[in-house]
Amino acid sequence: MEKLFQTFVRISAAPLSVPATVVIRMAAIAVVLAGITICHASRIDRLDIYDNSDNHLLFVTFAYDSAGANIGRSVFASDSTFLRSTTFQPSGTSVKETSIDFDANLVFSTTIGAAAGAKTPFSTVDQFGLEQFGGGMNFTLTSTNNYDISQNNVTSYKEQYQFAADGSLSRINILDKNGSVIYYAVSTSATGVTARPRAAARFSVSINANRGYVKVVFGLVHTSHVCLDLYSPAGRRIAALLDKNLDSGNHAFALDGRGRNVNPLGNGACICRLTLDGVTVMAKKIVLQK
Amino acid sequence: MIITARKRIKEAIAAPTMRYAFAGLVLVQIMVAQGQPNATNIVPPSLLPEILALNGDLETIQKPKYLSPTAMVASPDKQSIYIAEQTAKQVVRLNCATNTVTQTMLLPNEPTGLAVSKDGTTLYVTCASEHWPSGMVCVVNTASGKVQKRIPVGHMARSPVLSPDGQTLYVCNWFNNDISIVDAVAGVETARIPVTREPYAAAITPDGATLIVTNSLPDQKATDTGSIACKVTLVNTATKTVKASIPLPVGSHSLFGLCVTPDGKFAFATHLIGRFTLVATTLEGGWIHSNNMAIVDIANAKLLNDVELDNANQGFANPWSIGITGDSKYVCVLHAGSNSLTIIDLAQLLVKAQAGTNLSHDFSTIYGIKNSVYLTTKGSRNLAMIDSKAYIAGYFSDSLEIVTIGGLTSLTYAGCAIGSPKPMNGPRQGEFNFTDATLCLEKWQSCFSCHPFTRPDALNWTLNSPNSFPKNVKNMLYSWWTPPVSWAGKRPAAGGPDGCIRSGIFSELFITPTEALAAPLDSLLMWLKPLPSPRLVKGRLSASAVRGKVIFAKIGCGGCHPAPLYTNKKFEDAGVPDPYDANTAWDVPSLIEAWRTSPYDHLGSFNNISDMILLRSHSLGASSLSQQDMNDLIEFVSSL
Repeated sequence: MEKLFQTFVRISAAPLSVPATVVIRMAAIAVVLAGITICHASRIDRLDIYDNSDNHLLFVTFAYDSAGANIGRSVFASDSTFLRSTTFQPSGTSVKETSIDFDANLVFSTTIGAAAGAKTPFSTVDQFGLEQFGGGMNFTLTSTNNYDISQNNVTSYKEQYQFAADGSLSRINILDKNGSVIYYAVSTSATGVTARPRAAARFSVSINANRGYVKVVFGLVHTSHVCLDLYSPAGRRIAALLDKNLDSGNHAFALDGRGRNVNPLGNGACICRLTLDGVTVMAKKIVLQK
Repeated sequence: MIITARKRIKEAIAAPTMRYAFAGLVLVQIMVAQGQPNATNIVPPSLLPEILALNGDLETIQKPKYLSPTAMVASPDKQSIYIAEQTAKQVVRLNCATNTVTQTMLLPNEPTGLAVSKDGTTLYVTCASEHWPSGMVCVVNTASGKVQKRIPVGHMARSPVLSPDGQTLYVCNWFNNDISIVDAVAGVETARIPVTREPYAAAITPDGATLIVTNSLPDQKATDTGSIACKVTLVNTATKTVKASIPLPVGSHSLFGLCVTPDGKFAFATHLIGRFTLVATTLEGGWIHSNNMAIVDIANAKLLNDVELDNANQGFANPWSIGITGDSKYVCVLHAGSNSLTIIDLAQLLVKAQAGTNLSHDFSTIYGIKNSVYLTTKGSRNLAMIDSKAYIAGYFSDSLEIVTIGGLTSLTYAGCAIGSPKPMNGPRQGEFNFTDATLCLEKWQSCFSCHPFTRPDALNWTLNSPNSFPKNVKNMLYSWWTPPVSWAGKRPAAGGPDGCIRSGIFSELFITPTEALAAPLDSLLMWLKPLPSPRLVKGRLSASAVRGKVIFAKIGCGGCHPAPLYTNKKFEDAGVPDPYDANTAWDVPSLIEAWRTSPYDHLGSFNNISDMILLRSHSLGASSLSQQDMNDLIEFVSSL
């Protein structure tokens, strides 16, 4: 069952009655609160992999047949550079995965054990028969949704699956042996809603009528690189309010009514966008009037 | 076997529903799970570690996470050194007062170069790797250590240079053969300047008027024996045009180090000179390779002179980075192969260089005004200067050596580790042996000298073996898997007692090929992976290349160059005229990485792919192709 959280934010009409130099009228805009949900309980269309500094490293897309069976996946760098594509061949209790490059050349094949919870060794062998990891790689289920990753019986990493209340996978952590997260992955649903862990807790735009300033207030759940921009209805960026790293917590910024060319902004509608780490997470339509 | 499996894969991909997978020769229909798949089936515990490990992020026993310091820059306040650690995908800050690492900045890809803003608040880090070669500049806040912005630039971007006013960043796009101009304030690439093949290092004059760029390989045919050489390119930054392209002495290649004197008058560029016209019978006196430094007069856009860095009886192989002490008294040249540092009196060097004669093979030139010392670091490729101190990073030792220069012979040493030492695995040890000239008789050269980055040096060499004639250096990529190895097939394979590796050690390094030395080189060659072509679009064949793939099959190129390695591993007559050798059939080279291995054929007679394809005796079917078809075919071959 889909659970797309949509928030409709409507600003009070009160400012409109004030004889202000700048009037902002807030239109109702659907805002997706990121980081809350996965649309389908189990189907995953995309995994985004980050390091512990929130650098986006890779993403993986999953393919399904008409019956809903997972038939393969592709791996991309974060700028969408294609790295490899993999298809599956179940065999007994294991699955052989064959990976190919852009020209359909065999890159490597992987065999993993399929018995859930069991110690499941896997090996990845490249096109010339070379073992990519040196063999002896194992996964051991240590507790519910927690695995130890070991090589030659030495535990190097831990893996942790996290699920939302509806049972859908929300995040996978790769931890070092001391339990610190070093990489993590978050999933994306079929509808394209990215379940990013960073999210704005709130996002409001208001004016100080007497001074003609636009004030923007938002809260960050995690440290993020924040861009706050005004766009014309045609999509042209007309003002850049903010472009910097900010810590988690509440933040407030003011726009003095001037655009990128330092000239005063004209009357009319524009869009105020809040972008976190390159992804626009919220947008509000405003109307400027002098 | 591989070829057959590959055909099966193609058939499966062509199948309408993609509901087939493949194992060897058998196609098996996937067993479709009943109902909705659950998350752990789709994301099995192996998935993330496997992907991260293959991408070089997650450490495994087979592939430990080495640091591999590859670039350094001093902070403007001289309190810190930033060190780009390539394979660890991070930059660390070294506190120069305590010689300890105080900050680690993680990056999304492998760092290849560093530049720091004048106020020290922003670090510009070029990133690219063989996994993900599309280059980017990561703009890092030095206080928080976080990447604030990613600016897309070119293929295997490296060597960022910030203009003195801090407004413009220049980046070498190694395999795009151009320079990116980046608006450092807006954080966007604004233009590209085409330059000579493979721009590798860059520097800018103090007034910001001239950007100097060196290229790592010659762009000519190898048969142009009277002129083949790398060049130093001068770019007018105001007009964004190439002002001059200055050729170095014949045989010059591997221009990896570059710096400008503080007065902006001269540029120094390190390079090798391959004396390829001589039969490689001895090493003494730089007979095969000498290790040199070019001095360029920037204002007059000419080569002032070229000096020999070696001694008459001993080489200092693979000169790499250059720096100048804060008092402008000494030039410091780092030699990655011989693991040494050469310190030269700058004032006296310029006096001798301006004398007017060609000094490129004169050992006496800087004798008496230089001092060469050996270092404890391994694979010393990079240095950063703070006043009289040279901070030197060992690519293979993951350590630093700090040399304080009080005078030519007044040197004091200190050292520190920048990570915990890890034992070298086979390929890593092989890479180290490959670049280590201390193994060579009199330290004149390493394997890397003729095979930079295990790829060709674009020169023709006559080796020291019976009935040997000039031959172009071959790409080592996949050489282990495509015997025979040499053009004439004189060696049965890369490995083994009679193979190229051991015979090369004996014939070119002039030492005994012990197994301790040769076996890691076997591993290195086995593990070599191709660099994805800059012609790929987001990692995939372009529309033109897809059409070219069809033409490739249609006109029968696959007969001699069948996938997946694009060689039939046989001897074929490509009809290339050879004035030296009566033989006409040569080992068919793999086409993988053909885009970076110019010049082509056993003599290097062609420096672009289209000329090679159009040679009628090489590919009969190509002559009837339309121009569009030919372009598509070239696009495909250049994408492999």
